[in-house]
Amino acid sequence: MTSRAARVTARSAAPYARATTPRTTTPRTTAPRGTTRTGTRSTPRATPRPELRLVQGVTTARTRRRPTSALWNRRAPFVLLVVALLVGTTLGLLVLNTVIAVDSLKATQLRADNAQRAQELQRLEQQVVSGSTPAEIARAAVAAGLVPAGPAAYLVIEPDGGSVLRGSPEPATAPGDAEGGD
Amino acid sequence: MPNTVRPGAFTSRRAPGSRRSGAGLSVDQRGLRNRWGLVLMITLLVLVVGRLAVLQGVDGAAYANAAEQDRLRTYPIAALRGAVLDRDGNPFAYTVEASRVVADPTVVAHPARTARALTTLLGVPEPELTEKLSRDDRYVVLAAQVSPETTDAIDELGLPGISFEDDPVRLYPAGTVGGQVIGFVGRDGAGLAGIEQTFEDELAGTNGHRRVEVGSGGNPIPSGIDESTPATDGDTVQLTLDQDLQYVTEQRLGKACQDGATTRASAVVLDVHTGHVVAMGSCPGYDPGNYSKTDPNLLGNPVVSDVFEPGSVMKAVTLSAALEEGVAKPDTVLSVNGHIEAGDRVVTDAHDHAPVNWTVTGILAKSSNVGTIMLAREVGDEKLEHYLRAFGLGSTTDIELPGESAGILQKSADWTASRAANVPIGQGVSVTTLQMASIYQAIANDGVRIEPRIVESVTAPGGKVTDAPAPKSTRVISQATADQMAYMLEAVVGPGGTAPLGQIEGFRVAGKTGTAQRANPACNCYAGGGYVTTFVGFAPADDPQYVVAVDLERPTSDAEGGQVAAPVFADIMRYALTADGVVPSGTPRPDFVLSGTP
Repeated sequence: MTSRAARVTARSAAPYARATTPRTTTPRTTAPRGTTRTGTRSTPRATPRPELRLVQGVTTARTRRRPTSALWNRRAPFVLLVVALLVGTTLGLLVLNTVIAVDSLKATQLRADNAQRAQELQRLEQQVVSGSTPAEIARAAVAAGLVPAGPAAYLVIEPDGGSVLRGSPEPATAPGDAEGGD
Repeated sequence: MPNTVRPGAFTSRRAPGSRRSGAGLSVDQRGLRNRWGLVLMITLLVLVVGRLAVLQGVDGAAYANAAEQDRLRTYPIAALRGAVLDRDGNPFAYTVEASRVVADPTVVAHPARTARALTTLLGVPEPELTEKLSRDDRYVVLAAQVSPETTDAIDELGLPGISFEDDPVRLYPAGTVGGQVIGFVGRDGAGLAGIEQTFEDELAGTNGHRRVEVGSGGNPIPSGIDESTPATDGDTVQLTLDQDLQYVTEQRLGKACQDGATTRASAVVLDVHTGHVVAMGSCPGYDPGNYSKTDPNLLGNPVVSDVFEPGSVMKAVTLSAALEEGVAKPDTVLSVNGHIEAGDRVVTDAHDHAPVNWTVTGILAKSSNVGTIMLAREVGDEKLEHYLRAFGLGSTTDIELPGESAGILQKSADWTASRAANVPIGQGVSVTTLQMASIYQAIANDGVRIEPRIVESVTAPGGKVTDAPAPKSTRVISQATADQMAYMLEAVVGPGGTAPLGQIEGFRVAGKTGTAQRANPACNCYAGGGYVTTFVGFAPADDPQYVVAVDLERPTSDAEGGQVAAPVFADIMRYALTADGVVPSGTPRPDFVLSGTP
């Protein structure tokens, strides 16, 4: 900032000097410059030093405040925007992460529930299967007092609409006489 | 850049003339120092960069892998083995999820306390658990095939170091019913017998796995990696068996086995029109869920693997050949003596008798050996062999069951005179129960033999049904011959026949008894071998639906097939017809002419 401000001043003061000494603000005497360029170590340094310290130091201090505050005024929204974006993104990520984590936990929970249901289903199915095997049904039927069916008779409808009895139905034997099982 | 060199801009802070490093060294020395310094720096740089390259490039994959392994746990997901169902979808075998309880003893804090908590839940003695949990190991199996309810209960205890792995359990809800057909699986879950063995590839399925990113405690990280390759469950195999008929068949055979003389009884029921096996069993059977406690000699399926000499049931083949070849008709009358010479020996009828004028029907109804041999001689050995093979003897039926026997049938060219007299009456030739049933299936199905099959379809987990390939079907005898055979076989069960006990009230039954000498395994001769009594038949004779073949091995009895096998046949057939809703025969049994004048 300093150098740019200085250059602006320098330009207005001495446009010709831009290529050579951009940092120069006050018309320095050509003598010391020439001396510097061409001079040797034997040239005394004491002469330009006070000039630098006095003039430039003050000038810099004075020119710094004004353009900085102007710039600050101009860039403040941008900086704020960046800061807001950073904060917003961070918060957003945090929220997103939390939501994902919550969902993930929920999914895990639901999966566990699902497994539980599947287990329950399996248990019930097993119960149905083991209860419906022929041996189990036969046992339950005998226990309920049923007997194996005897010969069945059928009424067959003839093409002419009449019916004919096929087979001779027989009353079932009393449970005590029945051969259990088949 | 002359302009940057402003006076005083880069002046040394040292006092002029003060000593600098290297001051006092000559230019050469300073150059040397710089060079060595440079070499040192480059060496260090090469070392550091080299190490980095080794870590990143060469060992990088290994380290990345190790890091991943540290975080990722892979759990196998066991595929559920496919079910084996009967034709109505009732399960003979199916698999349910269960777990193997395993422990990492290094994590188990109090082995004794943990063992005490688990002993009743797992049903494993406490000392055994304590010993396992105290081992210097990282993996011990505490119990296998533990039910989900138990694992839940264990889970609630929150014991450290205890975890679960998939270990599905194979269930055979029907127990011994169909056991010999279904077979069983070994401890590793692979099929070792029956359908479980034949359809191992289809039933097994493919295991999957789950990879989960876990935290230090071994718990899954909720938002971490959790990818799983699901297991592909096995296909479901649907059989042609009817579970109810199978149960009744086995019950009836079980009863036969308890008569004191029968050591083995087998039966098979075939659907006449499709060749499907509707029931197949023998006693003693076994429970596939408990196979390890069964005598290993009983773990087969005798219906397809045991061969025996069928005896007179074979006469159906001989007479079919005689009718088909035009040698005789059902009413052709022959003068049949009570005995006939065959090479070096004499074959007699069941009881020797003076010459009788029997029709061919009478020969079959009376089960005359002499009459059958007379007809067989008319047919000729070579032709007879042709018919025997056409009816499926001497070769496997290719049913989907392991260990099937082809039976024994020598070439007719090798037959001796006595063998040539024995084969037509079912001696000197061996068959399985299934082959015996298949002969009668061909006769009942208007002369078309369909190879018996027991698998209906295979269903993939997605529901895609693949029907079993259609079995080979061949015409063995003409329909006219088949009709004549059905008529003649009905005479066997009729008045004057050998098997009135094979009758079923309301239905017309056709069938044939057999009482064959049983080869004594001890001496490889007939002496002391007892008999194999058989009955094979179909019903209703006027519209056949089922074929039932029964054979009983009776080493200590000389009872005939008509007395012991026919009632078993009748009971099984009666149930098959009644349960299937087959309408009783509408026509009366014809009058059979068993004898006449030549």
